[in-house]
Amino acid sequence: MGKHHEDNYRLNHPDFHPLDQGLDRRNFLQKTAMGLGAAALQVLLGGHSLQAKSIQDQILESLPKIAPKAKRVVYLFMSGGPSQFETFDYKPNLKNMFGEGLPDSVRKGQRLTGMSANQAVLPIVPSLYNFKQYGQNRTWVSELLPYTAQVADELCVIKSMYTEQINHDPAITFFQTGHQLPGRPSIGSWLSYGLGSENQNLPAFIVMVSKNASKDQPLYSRLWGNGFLPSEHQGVQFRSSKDPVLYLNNPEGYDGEDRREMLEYLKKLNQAQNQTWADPEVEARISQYEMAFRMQTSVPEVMDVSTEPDEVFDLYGPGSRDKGTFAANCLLARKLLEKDVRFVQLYHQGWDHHDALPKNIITQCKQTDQATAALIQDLKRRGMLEDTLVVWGGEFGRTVYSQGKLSANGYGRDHHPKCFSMWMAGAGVKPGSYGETDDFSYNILKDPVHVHDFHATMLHLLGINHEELIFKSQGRRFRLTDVHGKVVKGLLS
Amino acid sequence: METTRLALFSEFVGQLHPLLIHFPIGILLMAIALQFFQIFSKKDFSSSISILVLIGSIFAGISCLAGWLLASTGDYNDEIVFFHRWSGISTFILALTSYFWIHYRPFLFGVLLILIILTGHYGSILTYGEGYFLKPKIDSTVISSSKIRRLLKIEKVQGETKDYFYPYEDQIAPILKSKCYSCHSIQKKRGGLRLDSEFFIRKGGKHGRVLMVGNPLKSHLYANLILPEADDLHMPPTGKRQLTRIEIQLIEQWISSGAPFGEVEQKMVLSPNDLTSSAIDLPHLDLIPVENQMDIEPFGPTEYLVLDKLKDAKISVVYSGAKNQWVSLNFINVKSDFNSLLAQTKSIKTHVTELKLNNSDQMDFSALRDFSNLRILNLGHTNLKDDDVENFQGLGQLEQLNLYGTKITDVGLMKLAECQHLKVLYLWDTKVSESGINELKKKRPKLKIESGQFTFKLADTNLPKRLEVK
Repeated sequence: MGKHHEDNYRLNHPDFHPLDQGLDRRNFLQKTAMGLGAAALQVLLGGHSLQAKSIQDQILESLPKIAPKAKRVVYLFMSGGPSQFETFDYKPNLKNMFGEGLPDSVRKGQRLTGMSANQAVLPIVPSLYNFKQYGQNRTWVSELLPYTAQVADELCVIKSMYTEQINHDPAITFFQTGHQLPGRPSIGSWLSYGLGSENQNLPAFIVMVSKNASKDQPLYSRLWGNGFLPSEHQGVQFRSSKDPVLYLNNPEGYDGEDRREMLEYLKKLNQAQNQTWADPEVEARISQYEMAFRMQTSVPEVMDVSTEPDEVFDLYGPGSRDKGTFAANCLLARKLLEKDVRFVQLYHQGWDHHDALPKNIITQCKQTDQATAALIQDLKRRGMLEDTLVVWGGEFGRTVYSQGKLSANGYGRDHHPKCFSMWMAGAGVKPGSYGETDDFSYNILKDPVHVHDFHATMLHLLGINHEELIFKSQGRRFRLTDVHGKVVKGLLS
Repeated sequence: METTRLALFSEFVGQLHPLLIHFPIGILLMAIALQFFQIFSKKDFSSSISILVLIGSIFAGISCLAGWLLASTGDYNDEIVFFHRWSGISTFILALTSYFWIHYRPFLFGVLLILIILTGHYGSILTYGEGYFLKPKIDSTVISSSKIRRLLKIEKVQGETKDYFYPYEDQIAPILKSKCYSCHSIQKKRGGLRLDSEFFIRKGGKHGRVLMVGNPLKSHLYANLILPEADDLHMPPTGKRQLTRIEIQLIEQWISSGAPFGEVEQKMVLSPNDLTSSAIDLPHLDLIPVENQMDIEPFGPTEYLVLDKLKDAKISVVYSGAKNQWVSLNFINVKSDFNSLLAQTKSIKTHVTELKLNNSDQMDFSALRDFSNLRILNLGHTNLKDDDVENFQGLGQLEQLNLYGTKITDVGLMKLAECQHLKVLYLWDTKVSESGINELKKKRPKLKIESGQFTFKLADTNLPKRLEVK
């Protein structure tokens, strides 16, 4: 019920303001009357008549002692499950096994999806595309990603990711919320809740979905939902249409002053309601209205790319002038990160290549490759790659065998959760390659990284002990990593 | 083996005493009431009364037996137990007598009534403590010696500013009183343990000491509190009011700070958010050590006022360091008045390790002079010119400097060579030339310079189809 549990990370959150401002004790206790924080404070204030300072001091002392490396995150989610064979996981030996059946000793009886489980043979198919090593770390990158290859020295390619889910919906939900079933808060919501927002005029968690991707698998807004966290922490989707945020603008003939006045009265009504019910959702509603009002000016400002020089558009590639494409979204992501937005999530669909993979993956790579590399470069030259974490990856990998008939002009690959590649770059990440898969990229040989471990590591980079960012809901304590996850030290610089 | 089983059985039966005792009381009172009713109504109930008295006597006998076993656990005040025991047994004998001795019943019942009330009274004292029926009106706390000492102390130190704290008196004793005294005090000494004064807390109970000064985990006073509730040793027992996590934590901190019973000069530290050390203890991750380049005092009250003002001006303040003595200030929400806000930071300058001051074209850089512990400075897109670089001389700890989008030229760049600790320098989109950068690199070979001189090699967009079929 209450929202102030053992959340150690929220010093910048507006709820701490009453505390900061000379401790309006009554107000503060009222607001948090149902939380543990209040009880603790009551003991404190009741026990001793201390000055405001030492209370604040004590709250500060209880903060985590992990120095944060990352201050913001941009997560480029490649929805559909990009094939590791054609991107980062180079398997030269497969060339000699073209068309051979996948040995049972490799598959070990693993359950396949219904799409290929009934296939008589599972013919091995090597990547149609060549690989080369790039940069000081000699990172293998496919020729489909010529721009990413040029920033290879910034990347930490994890080849040994694995997940538990074999189908899109649960796998994406797992990656975004730490649980396969819908209803848990998304990563960005956890961060918004835990770390608050540096920028007071923009939401801490912003989502953009590419318009130029093939929408073979759906996305749904619950992927950036707040779950049981207060609703002000949900991701806000920015769209490419005339109104980037729906219903944000005033109706015609209705000016900002009126709006302000109306919101003041509405706030009073809501506060009166809150006095009776002390429902965190009322507070969330108040703060959302206020955020929306501030966004009326801040959003058009940040979405306006007309002041960006041509050189920037050239960097991000041809699509970047076309609003709503992945490239344009990357450019916007950079602008949002510049404004210290905590978590920017881009989705690019269309990686689900069950058939005609060679042809389709070219399109996907062309849509994303240059802009992804450009984002890294652009952040780097602005000095932001030091404290921004960039993440690229899908929800699972693809199989070594071809789904459907293997023909001269193409092949397809089915879903494969047991190993796949993704990469991180920027703040606190050690560039290079991490983990190893077997010759078939079917099983992990070394350093497996589970989705929970990935989450734990990400939170660690942000200065959060993943075991301590907790929210109690329906009688049980929840974390992004729930009861799992360990920080992968090998990924840290 | 056999003896322990017997002991356990007798303890079990003993615990039934408070439950059983209410049957004979009710039944015998019923018999007494019927007897009086018979006298007035002139009707004959004597056969009913006989049955009631018989049943009541049997239950009274069983209750006496259970009571004897319960008393033998030794948790109770011996003197009161004596009275309770013998008045109880008398009640039983009298009730049984009146079953056979029908003619004297009216007289016997009068005595029986008095005995029941008396036994009940002693039993209540054993269970609820002395003066139980007056309790809400009277606070039975005795004025303790340390309370008197405190009063004396206040007189003594008048005029001085010294503050004394009484952690036991103010924080620990109230917890014990509300959550533990009901079983562990003068009236009831479960496990032979009393917790109502320093002497008894230090002495411990039947099973040994409960307080190991400085070691909460070895002190049963704390350790039993954090056991799972299902555990037999968990205190308070299931069903009793439990301690809150904050109370548990207080006791833990009190014990680890040496369990002071009197006054202390240092205030006991209790952090409202720091609940990690108690029952839900989770291991701390300390992979990345906190950078502590120098010792500096934590913030004082006046400095917090300054920080409050900065926060009011929408400056984002993030703390770091073991005592949160460091701050990083981010002016991202600030649209104007950079200079006056920067001037306000004067008294906390040495605490600032990171400053982000982007997008201002009227900044006065002389305000940056004395940030002697500043490590990261971001001045991207500001009106910085070559002359302003001189203000960085005092920034002895500066490691990272972001000057992208400023008007700095090679002249200013050379001055930066003086910054001894500088490790990273961002110079994209400035008037600096390549030769200037090279010259600086000669002077400071280890300095990492990011000039943003990067262009993509255009990719070959015509990927050949290479699928070869065996």
